Amino acid sequence: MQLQVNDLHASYSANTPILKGVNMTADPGQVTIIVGPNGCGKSTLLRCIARLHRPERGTVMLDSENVWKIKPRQAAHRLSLLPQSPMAPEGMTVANLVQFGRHPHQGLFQQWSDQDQQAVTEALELTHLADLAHRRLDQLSGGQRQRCWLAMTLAQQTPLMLLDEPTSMLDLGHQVEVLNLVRKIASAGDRAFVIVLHDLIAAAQYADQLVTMRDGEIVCSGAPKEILTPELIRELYDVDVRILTSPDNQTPIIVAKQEQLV
Amino acid sequence: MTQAMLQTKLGYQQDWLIKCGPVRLRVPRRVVGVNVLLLSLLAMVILCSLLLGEFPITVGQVVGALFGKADRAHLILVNDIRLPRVITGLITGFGLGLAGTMIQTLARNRLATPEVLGINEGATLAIIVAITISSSQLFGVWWVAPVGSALTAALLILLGGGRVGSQGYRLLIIGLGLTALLRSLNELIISRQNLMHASALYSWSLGSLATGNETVNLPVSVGLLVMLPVCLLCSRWLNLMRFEEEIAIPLGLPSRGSRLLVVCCVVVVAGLSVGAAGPIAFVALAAPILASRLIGPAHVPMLTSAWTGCVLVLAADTLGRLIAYPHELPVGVVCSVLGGPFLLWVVLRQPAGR
Repeated sequence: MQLQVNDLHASYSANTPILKGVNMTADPGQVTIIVGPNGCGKSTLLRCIARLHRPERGTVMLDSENVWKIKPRQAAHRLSLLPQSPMAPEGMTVANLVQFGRHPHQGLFQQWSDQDQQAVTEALELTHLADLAHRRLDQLSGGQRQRCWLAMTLAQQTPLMLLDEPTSMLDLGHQVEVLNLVRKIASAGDRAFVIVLHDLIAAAQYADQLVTMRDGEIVCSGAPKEILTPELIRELYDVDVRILTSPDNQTPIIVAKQEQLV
Repeated sequence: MTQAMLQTKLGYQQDWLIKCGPVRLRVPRRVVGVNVLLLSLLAMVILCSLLLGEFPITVGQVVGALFGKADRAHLILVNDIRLPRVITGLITGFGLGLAGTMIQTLARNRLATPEVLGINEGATLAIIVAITISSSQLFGVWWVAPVGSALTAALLILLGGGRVGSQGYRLLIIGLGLTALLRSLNELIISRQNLMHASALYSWSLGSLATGNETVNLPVSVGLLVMLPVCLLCSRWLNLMRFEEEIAIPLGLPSRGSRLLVVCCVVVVAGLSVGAAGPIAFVALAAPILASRLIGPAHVPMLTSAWTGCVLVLAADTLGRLIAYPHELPVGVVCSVLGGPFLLWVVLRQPAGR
């Protein structure tokens, strides 16, 4: 399923536009990562795609369907969202939470199918949570809890997955683990990932397509190797950087230039 | 890891899966167990309520009277005096338990109950006004209660900026203000009545089963029976509403429509309860919390909360009839007395920062 965002305008109050005509696409089997300075509108863009914030103008198309025109339940079959720092109701266990990912696939009289069972089991195994399934969420570490939420969105089995800073709470080991998992799922199947990320090094390493934003507009987008230049970073973040290349796979590594203090 | 092991860990084996054609119901054993226990407890409380009182009567005589095989005095005592009161208690408790669990879930706040938000007090005002204007009897005008609760809810939503939920705190504060305002209006109207009228109205405005009788019980229970399937239809949405919008909407919650329907259910159900027995405090707060503790965090308790409400109201009423014998305390007073400590427990039990 291809995501196509056309000329998207959005704002929270009348005189302060957050998105000023955003165009982007995300293809199945690919990881699209959105980067940009704080307040550039990347989270709002994700909210508009996930039907949380109604855009003023423009369309969000999944293949030929406008996500704002389909029924909530149908939309939940097509896209899932992992928001920033989500909270679970008190006392829930890992298994309780992950099963909620199956909610849109169930009904009043279809409460549990073999596919539900399979999807939950698979999500728990992919995120290495099977051994913790019976544990209460409030007894887990921040990193483990983040993996539970990821498992819930995975269990939803949607062709489009939106992740809002999925690694911000994680240490380096778990960051790598989560992003490797995303990479693996994306290249294995036909799911499209759209991820908002702060970490430029990780973004350059894991993205098939990098989308850069500033002040509610897309600055440029493309493969990280092709678009990342010191000039672009200067334009985005107002800092001077050097771009090195990783000895492993020649992906760009961005480091800030040491400032002259005298 | 094998499939079987995982199933144990996930707790599927504690759930019964009922397959019948396209219908697949997943019934947690814990919920079934809790409901069986609650219903047995309820049966005991009903029996106590029929047995205990000014005139002692045996279990055999009660059962006999219920089946129409007893002498005249016992028939009148059980079927005409005590049974209608028990039924009023049951429908009131049922309604408050159900409305309480729905509005608490919607507002994502345990303290958001029909009585705190002013919905009960609005229903009370409607009844008091109707009685004073038409000088009809207390049980003639039960149907204005849902109208009053609906008007109050509309006012609440209007003052809250047109939205319900997602800002539980703001709604609570506005509700507290509304409750105080409506309560003072009620008291003002009552204070303008002659002494006898005022005393009856006042005791009713605290919540009392003493006025329970068939002319109210029948239409109110029919109303609740009509609302029950609608409320149960909402239970899937309510399960999602416990999460923030960022989780609930991508999982398929129709945010506006679902909220509106839940509010309507709460308004009608709570209004009907008040119409039957006045604004009984504490039940709508306590029943959902107790029920939720009993069945665990996987689901929002609906029927469980309703049965808990029944048990609480009837137990409190029976207590109120016995504790100050030969006088009786209105059930609302007993509930308020028990509700204070319970509220403190709820607030103090919550870990700081949540």
